[in-house]
Amino acid sequence: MKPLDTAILLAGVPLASPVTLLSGCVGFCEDLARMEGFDFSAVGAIFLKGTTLQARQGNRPPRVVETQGGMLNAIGLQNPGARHVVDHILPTIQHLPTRFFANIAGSTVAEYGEVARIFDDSPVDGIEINISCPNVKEGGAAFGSDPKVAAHVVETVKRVTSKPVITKLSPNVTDITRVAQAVIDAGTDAISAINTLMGMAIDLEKRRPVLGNGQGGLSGPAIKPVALLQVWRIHQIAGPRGIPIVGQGGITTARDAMEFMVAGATAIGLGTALFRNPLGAREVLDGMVAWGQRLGVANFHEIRGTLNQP
Amino acid sequence: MNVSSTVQRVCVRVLENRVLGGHLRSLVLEAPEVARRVLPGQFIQLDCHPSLTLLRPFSIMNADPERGTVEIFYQVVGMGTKAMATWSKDHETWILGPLGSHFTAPAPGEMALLVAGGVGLAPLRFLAHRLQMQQIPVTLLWGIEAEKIPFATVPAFGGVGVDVVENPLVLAQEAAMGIVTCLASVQKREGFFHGFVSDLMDRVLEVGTGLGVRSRLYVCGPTAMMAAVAGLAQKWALRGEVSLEGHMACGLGGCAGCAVPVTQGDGWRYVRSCTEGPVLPLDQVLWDVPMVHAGGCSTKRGT
Repeated sequence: MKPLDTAILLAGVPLASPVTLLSGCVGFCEDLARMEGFDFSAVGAIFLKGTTLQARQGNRPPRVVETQGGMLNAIGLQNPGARHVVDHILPTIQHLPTRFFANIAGSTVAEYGEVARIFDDSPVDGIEINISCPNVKEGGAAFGSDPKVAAHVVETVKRVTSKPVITKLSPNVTDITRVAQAVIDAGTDAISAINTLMGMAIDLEKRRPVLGNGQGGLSGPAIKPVALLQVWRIHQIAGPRGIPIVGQGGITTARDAMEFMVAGATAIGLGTALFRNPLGAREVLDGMVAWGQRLGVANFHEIRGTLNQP
Repeated sequence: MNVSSTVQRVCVRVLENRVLGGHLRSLVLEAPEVARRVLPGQFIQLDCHPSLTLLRPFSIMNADPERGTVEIFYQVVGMGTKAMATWSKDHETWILGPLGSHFTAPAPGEMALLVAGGVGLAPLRFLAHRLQMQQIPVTLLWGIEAEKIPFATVPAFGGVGVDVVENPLVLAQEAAMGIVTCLASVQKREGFFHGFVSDLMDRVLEVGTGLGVRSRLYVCGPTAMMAAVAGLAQKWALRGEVSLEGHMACGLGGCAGCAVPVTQGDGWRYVRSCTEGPVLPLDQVLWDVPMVHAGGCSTKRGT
């Protein structure tokens, strides 16, 4: 059987594997290394926990609740602040044999710029802009739902960093392709799609939302069909412009991952699936390689966006 | 108290899944490495069913390094525990563990006063047995409301119970090991202290059974009960540790979903009950911020 080269290029960054771990699911990696058998060689990149300029406490508990086929979370960007991450956390993880992308958020456009500037002078391989966090009152999704504001954030970040910039889009918009088009025009080097879908769980006895924040972001297998459609739609615009997509939303198995690649993703992200199996990256990558070899491809780029029309 | 040792993901086999009465059950799993390494207060994440998005956290009630087994004590309340209740011998599933922080031993010369509510007994029973092995005097108070008491009881011939209850009953296994126990229930039950387990604790300290200031307190149970015990700890100037309940997703510190508020200097901050906890100093936890909610996934009790 023909060997398959698992390496991919994402926004100019060479990754050893198309499998990435998504922001908010593995913190700042400090605890991942404790997992016996964790195989960093299967992980192309890790997107670090969303980081703001100042430290944030995050939302009041409960912050997570399981739902049918998925879960809701409303963490609220709990993080120690960008300076702390760069000065005290990155030095402890940068030796790990994978790539790191910072994930940045802010309450104002200027704050995105300031956080990006801090990470520009750090060992991260790139910066993911989180304009889609549904769980904070200011910032996050507010920036992601208006194409003009989204573009403004991307331009601001691009001005202060020479590192590759990935923009993470929200599905909580009428037309995700309008936002995608705007951030591509503003110079984003890649797109992550999709962030969580806004939702609610209700405690019927107490007639009260289960989450302390009232609402949260839905993730897990339940959102996979939504994510697949959005990745495919974004790919129609991003593909011709040479802008890669990190496909994400309910990916659990290698088959899920291959579906996202066929829909147009260059890399794929594991998030909620890690909560069931923190070692899942290796299984997904091995399964993807087996699929690729059956198809007779030399690398995963050959599969990208090969969806046949109905 | 915080443990940075490695975490295993292992396939485990069910050796026993016993109905203890009502919705209470005990599950014994073959997990040699975890059994060897787990310490009282630590927990495992258990894969209850492939259709569930999240694993379920459970405290270890007993670990037998020689047999290579761990035992958990659970109540059938939600989809996860309902699935578990159907398991028979040789069923295979996955666990992550050992996870989280553990209880620390009392200082030399101190006794241990353990206060448990419901299935919160699990980590304290494990602690009681391990402390007893170290010849540390242990008194275990347990509030239990189940219709059928899930563990064998026998009449007490001493211990704190005789001072506060008429013809008190104690847990048979612990009695055989020399561990003092006393049971509480808000229902009128012969041999039980009538009231909350926190009331029992207050009463036991009042009658001056020698526990007083020379005791270190260990607590686990429903949040309201733990908050009540924390208040009594202040009244009696007792220090100790609490094993928390709370919603949890990853169990590994990655998602920050299990935040609990603790004091920090003049202010407060959130820590993760899966990594900084579940065992935290009793006087650090802020009880006025709601931590537990009906429904969802609850630390160490499963749903």
